Amino acid sequence: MYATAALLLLVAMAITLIRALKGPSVFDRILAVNTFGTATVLMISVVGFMDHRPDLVDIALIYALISFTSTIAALRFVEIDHARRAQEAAEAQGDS
Amino acid sequence: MSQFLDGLSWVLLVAGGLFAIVAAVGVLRFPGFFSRMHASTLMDTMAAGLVLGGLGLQVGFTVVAFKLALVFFLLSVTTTSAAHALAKSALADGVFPHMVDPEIVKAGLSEAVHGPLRHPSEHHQGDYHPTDGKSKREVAS
Repeated sequence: MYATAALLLLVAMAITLIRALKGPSVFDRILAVNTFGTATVLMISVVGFMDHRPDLVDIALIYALISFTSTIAALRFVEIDHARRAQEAAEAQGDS
Repeated sequence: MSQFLDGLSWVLLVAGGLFAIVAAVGVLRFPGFFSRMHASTLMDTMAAGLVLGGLGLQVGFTVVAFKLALVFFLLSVTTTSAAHALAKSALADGVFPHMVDPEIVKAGLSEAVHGPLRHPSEHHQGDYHPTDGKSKREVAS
């Protein structure tokens, strides 16, 4: 029972990873990694139950929080990068 | 009764796994960024709810069930916030929603998004286009 759910989740994670590798935009990659993180949270819970160690739900809890934080951090990184590039382009236009 | 709950838990777990696959296929196959976001929502709501509910039926009213509910609550809060930030960031970067009249979108956009908007015909679907100096956003250097 748990093995079936774990296998299905594993397939879903693999398919999501293909999108993360293909892109094409950086936002597609971030979206795919976010979905992958949600699947990982479910996977950790299921594997914990499969192993008769329901305490692994705690780890899933922490993983959910870390996944959210990393998504926001990556988004801030991308936004600041783009804003700086736009500003540099504007300054170069102003000089010429 | 116990066997009934066991069967129900089995059904919920497998249905959650199937919904996860549906969401993953949607993320892989849908055209355009925003329709992919719509597909990934299925993973955060249906797959998470069904799998965690199925696990909760296995343990009954215990501390573990409370933790599972907490995981679902935290997932609900964090994934919606992340999706909001992602969509806002993509819109500000000029990624355009597909299959809509661009004038309608321009009229409906709030002032929260200042990035220059491009018509879909100007670039390939979901292509990566950094702003080219026309952005009104300012950043403290």
